[in-house]
Amino acid sequence: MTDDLLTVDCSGLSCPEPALTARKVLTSTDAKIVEILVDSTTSQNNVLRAGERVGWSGETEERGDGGFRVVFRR
Amino acid sequence: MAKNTGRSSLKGLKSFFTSRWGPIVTGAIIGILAPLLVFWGNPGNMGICVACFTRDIAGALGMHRAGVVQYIRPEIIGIVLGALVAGLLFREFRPKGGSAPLVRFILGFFAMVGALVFLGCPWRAYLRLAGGDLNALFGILGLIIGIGIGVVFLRNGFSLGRARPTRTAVGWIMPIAMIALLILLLVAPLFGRDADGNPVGPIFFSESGPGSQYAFWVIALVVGLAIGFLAQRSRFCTVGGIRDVILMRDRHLLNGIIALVVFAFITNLILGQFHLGIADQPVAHTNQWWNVLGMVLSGFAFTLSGGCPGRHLIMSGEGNADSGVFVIGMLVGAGFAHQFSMASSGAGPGAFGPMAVGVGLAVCLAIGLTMRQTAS
Repeated sequence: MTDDLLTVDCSGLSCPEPALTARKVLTSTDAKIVEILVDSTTSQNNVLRAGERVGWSGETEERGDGGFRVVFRR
Repeated sequence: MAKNTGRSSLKGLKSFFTSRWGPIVTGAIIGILAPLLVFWGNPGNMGICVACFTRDIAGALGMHRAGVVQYIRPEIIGIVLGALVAGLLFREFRPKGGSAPLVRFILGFFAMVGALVFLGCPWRAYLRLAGGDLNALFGILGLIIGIGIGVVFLRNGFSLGRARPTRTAVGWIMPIAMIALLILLLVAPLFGRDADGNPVGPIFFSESGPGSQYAFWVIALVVGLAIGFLAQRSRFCTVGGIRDVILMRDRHLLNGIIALVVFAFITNLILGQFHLGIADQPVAHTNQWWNVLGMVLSGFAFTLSGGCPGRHLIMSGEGNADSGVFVIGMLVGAGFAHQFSMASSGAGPGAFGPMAVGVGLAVCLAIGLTMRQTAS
């Protein structure tokens, strides 16, 4: 992991923890790329919306284990 | 989005329901269907009430003996099975569990106790308002306060911990339990009658009161299936709507609640079911102090649990065992609420309702203060 990439694992957490965590991280980090790991499409959408509301652009991809990775770039 | 690329219509539907229109359309459809269910036979302003209907099921199973609120409500069965169908169809049936199940049981228990002090879950609070019942405003005020308290804990790191993927069979438990309930509704087994000629169970059906008022079971089941399907797709949540506005200034889910109230109001007007007032509202009482405090407890417990009771039904249909435990907590809570005179009636709060709200708030505070974990 480089200083530019921050990974936060929110898989398995209940609403609204993934979105709230994403919001907290994205409004305080110095990292250039932040990836949030989640385990449901609901959390995926919520995290994406939360990030975009605080000015990041995000995209999602499926992980092999059935979860999702939401990647935000400044 | 690997495997769905070829199924463009399914994918289009998928993105529509996760767009800002998803909760709005879902809320609007529930807003139309719920008053119609009243028109077709359900109790007043109770087209859908997850708390009341779960309570009726508890009564039908003999978990309480309040003779006026005993019926196996097909709407509840339909909501879980509708969510199951949507989950399977869109590859979102993902069995998981293990996030503090016993705590979730307790939260479900007290969420139900609070809802039965007010006389309705958040869905019914909004539906009562849309039917002109102004007592609902006090319940909604309490709900907002309760959610606000929950948000303070969420901001300070409250967490019930992670759920983990589990065996497929675990995810089928709640849907199969719902099918069992449907069979019990249709077979209505009766072991005999006592000396006075009253049925001895095992299944009880009200002969008077709200439990004796219901739409034809096929209609109720189909409406439940439709709502379960739509709400699964759109993540419609009547607690999340308020929570997300307070917590993150996000109106996505709130729009669904507003749509529900607006469309239910219009449908009630058309059907002649809108009666503005405070006194003599159906299945409601006018003790505003306990209308507020009952829903403070409920809103607090729902927020700590991660969603409204409808949302937990939906997630239990998607294979979420923790939500399944929450639903069973509500079922048991409903049994206790009536057996221990904690539930309200049209006359006002039950003898031990106020005490139960106090105990429930203390328990939720203890849970809020002790369950903390930060994501790594």
